[in-house]
Amino acid sequence: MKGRRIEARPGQVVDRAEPLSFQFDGRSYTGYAGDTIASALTAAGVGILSRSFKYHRPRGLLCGAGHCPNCLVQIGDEPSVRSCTRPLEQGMDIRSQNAWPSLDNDLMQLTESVSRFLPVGFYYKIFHRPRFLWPAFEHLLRNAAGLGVIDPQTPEGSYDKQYLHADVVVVGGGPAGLSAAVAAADHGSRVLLIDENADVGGHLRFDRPDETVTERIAQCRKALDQAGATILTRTSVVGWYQDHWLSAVRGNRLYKIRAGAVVVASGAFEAPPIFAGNDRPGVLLASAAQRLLHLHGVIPGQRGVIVTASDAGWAVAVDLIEAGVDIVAIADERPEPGPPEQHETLTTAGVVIHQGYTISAARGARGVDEVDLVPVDGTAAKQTIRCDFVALSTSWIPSAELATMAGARSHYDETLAEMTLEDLPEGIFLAGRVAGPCTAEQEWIQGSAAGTAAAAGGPSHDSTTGTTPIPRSSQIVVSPGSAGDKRFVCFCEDVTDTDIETAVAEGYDRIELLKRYSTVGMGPCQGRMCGLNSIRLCAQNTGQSVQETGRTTGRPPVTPVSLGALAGQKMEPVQLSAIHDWHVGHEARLMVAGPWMRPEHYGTPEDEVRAVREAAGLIDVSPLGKLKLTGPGVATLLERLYVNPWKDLRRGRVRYGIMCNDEGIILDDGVCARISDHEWYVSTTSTGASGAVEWMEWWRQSGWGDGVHITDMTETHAAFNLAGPLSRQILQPLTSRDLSHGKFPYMRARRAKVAGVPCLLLRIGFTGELGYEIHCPAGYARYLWETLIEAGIPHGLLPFGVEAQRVLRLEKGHFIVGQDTDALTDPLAADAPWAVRLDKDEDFLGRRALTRISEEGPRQRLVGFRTRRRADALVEGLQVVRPADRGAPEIIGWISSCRYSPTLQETIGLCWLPTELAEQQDTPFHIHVEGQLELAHVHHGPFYDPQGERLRS
Amino acid sequence: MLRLECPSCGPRNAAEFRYGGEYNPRPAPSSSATDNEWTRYLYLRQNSMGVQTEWWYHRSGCGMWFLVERDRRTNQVTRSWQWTVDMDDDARQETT
Amino acid sequence: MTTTPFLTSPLEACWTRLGATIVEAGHGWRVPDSFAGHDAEMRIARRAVVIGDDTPRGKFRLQGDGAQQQASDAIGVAVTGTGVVCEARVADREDADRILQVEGVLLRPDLCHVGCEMDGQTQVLEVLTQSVGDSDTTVTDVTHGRFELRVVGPAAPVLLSKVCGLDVDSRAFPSGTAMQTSVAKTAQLVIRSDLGELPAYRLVGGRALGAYVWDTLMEAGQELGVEPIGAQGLGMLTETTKP
Repeated sequence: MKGRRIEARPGQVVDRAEPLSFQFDGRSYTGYAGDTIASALTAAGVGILSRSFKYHRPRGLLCGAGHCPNCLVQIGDEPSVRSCTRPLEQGMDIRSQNAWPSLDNDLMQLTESVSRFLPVGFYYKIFHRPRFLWPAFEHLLRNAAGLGVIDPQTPEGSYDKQYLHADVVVVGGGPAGLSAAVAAADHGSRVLLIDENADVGGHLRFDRPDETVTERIAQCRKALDQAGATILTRTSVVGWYQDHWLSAVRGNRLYKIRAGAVVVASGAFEAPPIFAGNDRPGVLLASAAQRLLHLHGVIPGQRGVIVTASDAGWAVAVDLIEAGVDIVAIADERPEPGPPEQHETLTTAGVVIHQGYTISAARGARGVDEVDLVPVDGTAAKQTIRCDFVALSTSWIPSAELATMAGARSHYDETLAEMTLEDLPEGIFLAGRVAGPCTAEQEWIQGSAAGTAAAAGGPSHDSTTGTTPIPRSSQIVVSPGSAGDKRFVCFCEDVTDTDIETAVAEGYDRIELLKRYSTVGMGPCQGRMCGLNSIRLCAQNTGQSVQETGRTTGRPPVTPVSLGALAGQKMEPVQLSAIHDWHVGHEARLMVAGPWMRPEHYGTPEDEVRAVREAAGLIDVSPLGKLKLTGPGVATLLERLYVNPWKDLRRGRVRYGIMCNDEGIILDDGVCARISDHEWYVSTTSTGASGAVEWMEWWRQSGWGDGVHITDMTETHAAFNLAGPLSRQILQPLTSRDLSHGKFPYMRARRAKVAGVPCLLLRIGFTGELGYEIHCPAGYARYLWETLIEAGIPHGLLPFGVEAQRVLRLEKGHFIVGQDTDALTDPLAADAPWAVRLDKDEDFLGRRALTRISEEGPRQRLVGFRTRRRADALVEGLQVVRPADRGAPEIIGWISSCRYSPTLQETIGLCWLPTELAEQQDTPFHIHVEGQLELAHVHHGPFYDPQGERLRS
Repeated sequence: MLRLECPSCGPRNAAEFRYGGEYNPRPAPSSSATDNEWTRYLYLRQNSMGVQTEWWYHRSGCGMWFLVERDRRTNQVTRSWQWTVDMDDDARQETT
Repeated sequence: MTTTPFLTSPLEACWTRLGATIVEAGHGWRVPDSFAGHDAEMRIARRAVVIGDDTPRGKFRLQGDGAQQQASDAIGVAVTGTGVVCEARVADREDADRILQVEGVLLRPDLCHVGCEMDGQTQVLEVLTQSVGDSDTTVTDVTHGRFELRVVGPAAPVLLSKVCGLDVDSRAFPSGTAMQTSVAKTAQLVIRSDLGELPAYRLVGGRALGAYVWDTLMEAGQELGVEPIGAQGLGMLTETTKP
C-alpha cells in the first residue's frame, strides 16, 4: 500500500493552510490540521502501523474508525492510542508498539515460524513442565505479552464528571440521529444529541459529497439550536444502565445522563471477511478508504481491487476512480449485475467486473502485491490480480451494544446474514442502519419516526416495519479455496479459523467457552471485527444454526474508558471539628477516625497523660455522636433499644448505656443525660454516630416511635472534655454555676453559661479523673476552647489528643466498642453485666440472647492484663496461646488493647481469654510475640484508682 | 442507575438511599416466639426469586425509612410506601 | 483574652487561604467581608459564578405532626408541599423599617426547615417556639450545626451539575423550589432562590463537611471561572437584584 495525498475537494476536514509536523518512530513527517495520525501517515506513504499481538505480523490501516487493533500506537505515556481516530497535533512524538527493534524489522516475527507449536490455548498445554523453568517462562511471557508501555511516573491528570438530563437522548448524529433529534425537539422535548466524531453527520461526512445533504444537515443543526437542544460531539456513549441512565465519555470527562427515552441511531460498521492473508497491510475496509478519501483527501494506494457483497462497494469504486486511483477489478459476490449507473462508470474506466466472485487470498511481503479472486460457486478458475490495496465491503455489523445492554434481544436473520434486534425494552427506539439495511432516505424517515415516538413516550418503536431491507452482508463464512496463508478471524489476538476449529474439536463448543479458550473477541476491538465471524464458524463447526449458537454478553464500556475518567474529580468527604484549624495551628498530629480527622497528639502522649493525671487536660470530643430525643415516649424507646433501665433516671442525671442488637451483640455505647421529663441527650461513639442514628430512626419509624422525635445534634454542638484534678479550679471562674461536689456530683448534667456561652455540662469520667464534658453551640467552639486553654495554662493544662485518651481510659479498664469488641461480643462477655437489666419491664433488643448467655455463662471474657514488657512490642491483635509440649501452641484468645502506662509505669491492656483463665486475679497466661512466648497476668478492675475516688472528688 | 420513589421526595437515584434488608417484622414481644420462630426471625430470609418487600432509607435526603416492592429478577420496582402499623399486624397474622 | 464571645464558620480557613478580609458582623459572627472587592466580585457573579458563605443565617428544624401548620403560623405564610420554598417577609421587632427574609420548606410530612437572615435569628426562634407552644412539636435551633453557601451566577446550574445528580436546570428546578439530595457525596438541602435574572442556589449541609464542600465546589468550578464572594458583595448583589 502506497498511500498519498490528493488535491483539496469539498467535504474534506483537513486545513491545508495549517501544516503540522510530527514524528513516528523517530522519523519526521508532515500532515495537516484535521488529519488523524493514521491519515497523515497514510498520506506520507507509511503502510505498516503495528505488529500483531501473537505472530508479530505487519499490520496496516483496516477499519479507519477505531474498531480494530491494527493502528494502535503509543504517544508519550499514553499506550494503545487509536491513530485512525486521534486528531494529529503539532509536535506529536509517536512510537509504534509491540515491535523490536523496529516496526519494519521486528525480531518477534520469528514466532510465526514456530506457529504450529503455538496453537490455540497453547499456554494451557506447555510451560508447566519442567516446573523449575516456570519463572523463566513467566518472565519471557510477561515481556512478550501486552501492548504499549505504562509509565509509573505519569503525573496525575485532571478529570471530572458532569450530570446531564434530557427527555430524549439520541445516540448517533448521522441522518437518522439528526432527524430523530429534530423530531423530538419539535415535540417539545429536551433533547441531547451525542456523536463520537468531531462533527455530526455520521456516514454522510465521508460519503460522496453532496450539496443537498450538507444543506440538510445544516438545517437540522439550526432547528436544534433554536429549540435549545444540546449537541455533544467527540463524545462516546459507553454504557446503558437501569432506568435509562447512560454514561458517556469526552476526553477526561465522564457524563452521567438520565434520559426519559433513548433513540439508538448509532449506525453500523463494516467487518472484514475471512480469507488467506486477510491481515496484510493494504487490505482495508471500503469505509476506511472512504474516510481517507472524503475527509482527509488521501488515497490508500495507486492500484486497487474492490471486493463487495452489495452496492456499497460500487460507490466506493467510483469515488476512488474519480480521485485518480487505478481500480483494476471489482469482485461482487452477487450473481446479478451491480447498480447500473456505477456499472457503466466502471466499465468506461476499464475496470474488470467479476460478478459472482469474492477474494480468496492476499499476498505480499510488506503489504499487498497481489490478490486471488475466486467464483463463489467454484465453477471457474481463480484470477490473480496485481494491486497495492484491496477495499472490502462484505459485512455490516449494527452498533447495537446499548440496545442489548438495555435488554433487547439479538436475532440472527439468515436472509440478511446479520444480527437484528427484537424485544426492544420500553423507552428504547432504533433508527437507521443500526436497525438493519436501509436506503439513505429511509434513514431520515426512520429517525423522524423514532424521535417523535420517543418524545411522545409511547411504546418502543420498530422503525423498520413496512420496509423490505436489501441485504448488504455476505453469506460466506470463509472464502472458498482460501489457502497459502493464515486466515484470521480475530485480528487482536491472532486467532485463525483453524484455531476455532481446533478449539471446538477439543470440546470448547459453546460460544462462551470458545471465546474464553481461544480469546477470540477479547482484545482491543472487543469482538467488533470478529464477533459475527466467530459465531458463524462455531455454528459451522458444531452443526448448529447461528441463532442456536447464540452470542456472548456485551457489557459497558462500549469503547475504552480511562480509569481517570471513571474516578473523576477527587471527592472524599472528610469531617472536621469546629476547632480543626486550632489543632492544625498548634501542630497537632492528625489521624483518621472514621469519617473524621482528629488530633492524635500535640506534644507527646506521655506528657499529655501526665498532665491529665496531675493537673488538667483538654480534649476536643466534638465527633461524639449527640442525639436529642424529645417526647413522652423516649424513655420507653430507650428501654427497648438499650440493655439498661432508663425510666427511673431522674432529671439532671446521667447514665451509661449499651445498645445491642437482637443477638445480644454490642452495637454502640455512650452516656445519656435526662435534661427534663421529655428531653433526653444521648451520646454515641464518634465513628458509630451515623449508624446509631439510622438504627434508632428505623425503630422509630417502624413502630416504636410513638411520642419520640430524634434530632441529630452531633455537628450542632461542639464538645470538649476538661479532665484532671485541677479542672474544677480552672472552670469555676468562668461560670456562675456552682461546681462544688455537693452541688454538682458525679454523673450529673447541668446547663451553665461558660465564659458567656450557653453550655451543657456533663460530669462524667472516661479518663478516670475529675472532669467536665462541655457541650456548646459549635459556632462558639473556637472562642470557648481558646478561653479554656488560656484559663488552664497557668495551672499546667495541656491539650490532649486521641492517643492520650486511649491510654487514660485503658488505665481505668474501659473498653472501646469496635476496638475491644467485635461482631461476636455481648455485654456479659465484655465484663459489663452490671449494665444489663434482664428483668426490666420492657422487652429490649438482645433480651433473649442475653438471658441464655447469662444462664450458660460466656465462654470468653474481656479482662485486663499486665505484663513487664514494653508496649511498643505488644501490638493489638496478638494472640493468647496455650503452649503445647509438641507441635504448635493452641490459640485461646487475643489482645484487643495494649499500651505502656506512664502513670503505673508498666504495660497494661485488655484481652479476650477463656472464662476459666479470666476468672482469677493474677492468673498467668502467654502471649505469642514474634515466635516467643511473653508472660502476662490477669488483672480485674481498673488499673488506676480502682475505687474511683478521683472521679468523684 | 435504578430510580426509587421516596414517598416524600419523589423519584431519586438509588445512590441517595441505603438498602435496609427484607421486610421482616420482629415477633413482639420477643419472649412470645418459639426458638424456631426466633431463629427464623434472626437468621432466615425469604430470598425470593421474584417480588420482595424491602426497606430503604433516604440517607442523602429526607431520612425517611420506607418500603419498596421490587422484582429481584428484573429489578423493576412496583411501588413504594411508608410503613403503617397494620402492615406488621397483617404479616404476623399470616405466619401464625 | 477576648471577653466577648465570637462565632466562627467552618469555612474560615478556606476564606483566609483565599485572602479574605475578615470582619465581625452582628451578633459576634466573623464573616469574610470581601475577597477581590465587591465590585469585582459582583461582576463575576453576573458573568460566571460566585460562592459565598452564608453560615450565620438562622436555621431551624421543626419536627412533629403539627410542625407544618405551626411553622406556617409562625412565619405568616403557608408552608406548602415538600420541596416548595415559601418565602415570608417578617417585620423586624427591633427596627420597624426593616423586613426580615424568612423561608420555610417542608422536608417531610413531619419535618420543616425554617431559614432566616442572621439578624432575625432570635426573633424567629421566639415566634416558632410560641407557635409550637405546649404541643408535641420539637423545635431545634440548628444554626450552628449547618454550613450555608450561596452559589450565584449564570454558570451556577452548570457548576451544580458537576456535583449533584439531580436536574438543577431552571426548567426542572425553578426558583422557589427545594430538594434534599446528595451534593458532592454529602447530604444537603438545596434551595433554588434566584436573584433577579441570576440563577442562585442555597446549599445547607452538616457543618463538619463545610470546608470539604467549599473546596470541592471551588475545584469543580475552576473551568467556569468561579470566585468567592464576600459578605459585602453578596449583600449588595441581593439589594441590586430586588424586584
